[in-house]
Amino acid sequence: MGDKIVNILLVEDDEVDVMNVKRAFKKNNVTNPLFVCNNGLEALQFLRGEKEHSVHEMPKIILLDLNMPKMGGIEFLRELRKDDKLKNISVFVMTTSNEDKDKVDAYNLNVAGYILKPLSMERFIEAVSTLNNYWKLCEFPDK
Amino acid sequence: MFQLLLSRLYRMKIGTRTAISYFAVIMVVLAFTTASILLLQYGKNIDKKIASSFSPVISTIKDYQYLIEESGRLSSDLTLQPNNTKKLRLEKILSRIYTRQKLTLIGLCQEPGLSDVKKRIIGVDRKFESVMVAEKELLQLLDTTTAYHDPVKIQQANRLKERIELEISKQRLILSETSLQAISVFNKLDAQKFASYRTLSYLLLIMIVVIGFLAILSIYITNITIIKPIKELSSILDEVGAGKIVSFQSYVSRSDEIGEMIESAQKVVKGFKTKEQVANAIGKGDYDIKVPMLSRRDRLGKALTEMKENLKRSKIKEAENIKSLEAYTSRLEKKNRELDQFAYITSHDLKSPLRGINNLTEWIQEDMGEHMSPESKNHFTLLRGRVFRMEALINSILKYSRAGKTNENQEQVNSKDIVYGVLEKTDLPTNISILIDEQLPLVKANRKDLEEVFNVFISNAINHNTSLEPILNITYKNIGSRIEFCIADNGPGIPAEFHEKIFTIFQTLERRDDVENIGAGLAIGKKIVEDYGGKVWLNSEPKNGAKFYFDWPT
Repeated sequence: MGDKIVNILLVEDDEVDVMNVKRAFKKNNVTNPLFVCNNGLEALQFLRGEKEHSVHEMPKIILLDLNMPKMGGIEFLRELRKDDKLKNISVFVMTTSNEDKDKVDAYNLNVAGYILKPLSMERFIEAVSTLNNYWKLCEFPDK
Repeated sequence: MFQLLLSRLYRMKIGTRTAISYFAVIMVVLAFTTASILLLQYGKNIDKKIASSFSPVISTIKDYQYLIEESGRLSSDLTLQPNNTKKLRLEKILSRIYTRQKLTLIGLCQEPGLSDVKKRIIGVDRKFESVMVAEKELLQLLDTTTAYHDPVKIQQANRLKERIELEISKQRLILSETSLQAISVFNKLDAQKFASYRTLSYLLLIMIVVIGFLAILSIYITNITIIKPIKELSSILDEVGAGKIVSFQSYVSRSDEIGEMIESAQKVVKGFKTKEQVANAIGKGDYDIKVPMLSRRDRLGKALTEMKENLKRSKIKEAENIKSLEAYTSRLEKKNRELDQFAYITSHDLKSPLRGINNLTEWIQEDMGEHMSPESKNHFTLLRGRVFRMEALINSILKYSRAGKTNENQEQVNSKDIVYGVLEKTDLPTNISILIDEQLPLVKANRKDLEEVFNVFISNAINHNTSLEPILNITYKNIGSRIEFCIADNGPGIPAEFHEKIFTIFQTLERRDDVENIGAGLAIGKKIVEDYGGKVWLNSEPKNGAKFYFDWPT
């Protein structure tokens, strides 16, 4: 399955969290190309090709934070699911919000998972490892 | 007939009626008096007549008869033997006495009732004229004593005597009849007199009866036309006076003083009735109703108007008060929501830099590896401990801001299930004794809220229990429509001065470095219980354990 490496988009405003994800990827030997957007609006522009980037393959997985400036995660999800070209993308929510409302809203918008960001690095690495195993197993539509 | 009379009476004033009845009585008395006087006069006249003419007529007829008989007797005696005295007497009668007597008698017979008597006497007189002629002849014949010896003369005289006696006996018969006739006329008059007196007594009797009847009639009419309506009216006014407002109607149309009185009373009652209706309407909240004023002096109307205005003003004021109170309440509710929201957002925003700090320290430790001094390592451990405590504090704020009555999924919950569920999730010391009432009641709650409350009190009872043989005791009591739960432990107890403090968020009785305890649990439990309208309290003395109570609606 090594030939089936998919692009991953991380939508996250906190620089340390971005570093955290990158570090966790490295620790778990996750080699998928990782693109970063700092908020929902930027991510939408990126996915719709409105921003200059050299990606020829659409990311099939999005790691999404909820509390972000300009456009939050739930709002971004709503836009994403309305867009015919983008609505197939798997989205994992990674957030600090333990609110029932956020969880319900997220699952109503067809997220593949809702992960609470743990305080410690160790547990986050475990979580990313599990995620990696999970999406390696998954089949994605070709285009 | 009687009804017609009554309806006519109702159209008269009482004064007129009284005057008419007095007048009628006076007229009746007057009529009867006049009739009585006339009757009395009539009787008296008859008496007078009897006294002045009838009684003398009878005696005079007797005298007259006697005179005629005397003349006959004298004639007879003189025929037998001469007697000078008798002769003189006869001559006297013939010349004067008879004529006088006759004239007296006729004079007495002037009354119309005696005309028959008079006629008879005149008839007798005419016959007696011839007798007198015969007697005079006799007297001439026997003029001298010698004549008595003359048989021719005697014979002549005897013949005359016989004629005279015959004639006189006839006259006597007629006169007797006449006398009887006079007596009968007299009797008839007497009878008339008595009849008039009898009539008079009847008249008196009738008068008494008529006056009595009039008196009874007037009493009856007064009773049904005056006294009865007044009594009815006064009983109605009594009811009105007692506060019962009854409308009533006079069953006859009448224009007398009673009618006016009834009309006035009706006006009074009608006034009250409209006032009652208006007061009712005001009572029901109709402040725009117009109070009808009977006149400018209608004080009740004025009072009602004033009352209505006052009520209206106070109602408006009340509405304003409610409005401002509502505005205040909604402002307060908004502030509370904002406060909760603030706590929520703040704690969220605090969490991510905290995680950043934690991550960075971990990376530093990782990157430095063995280059880090043991002291620095210790500092890093302490630093991470503080970070974890801060996260716990933030999580508590989050939990506290979210705690409270959840309006969804309110249902009948078996508190026993809840308690056992909580105990299952709790780390229990191995040697703990747990005593729970056999039955715990059904209460109305959102399952999660009640779970949180029991969790708070059970954790509190276990976590702070330093006894070697810890005991947890859960009981309940029915207090009206609420249930009072009691969670008791045999821990160190809480001094009275801290009984309030322990329910305030982040207030702990021990150093956090000694017992890692945030101090939010009891505050969260209290917040939920109070949201359900209950309260939280405790009974505890140092060394004697603590009993925590809270009540919950059923």
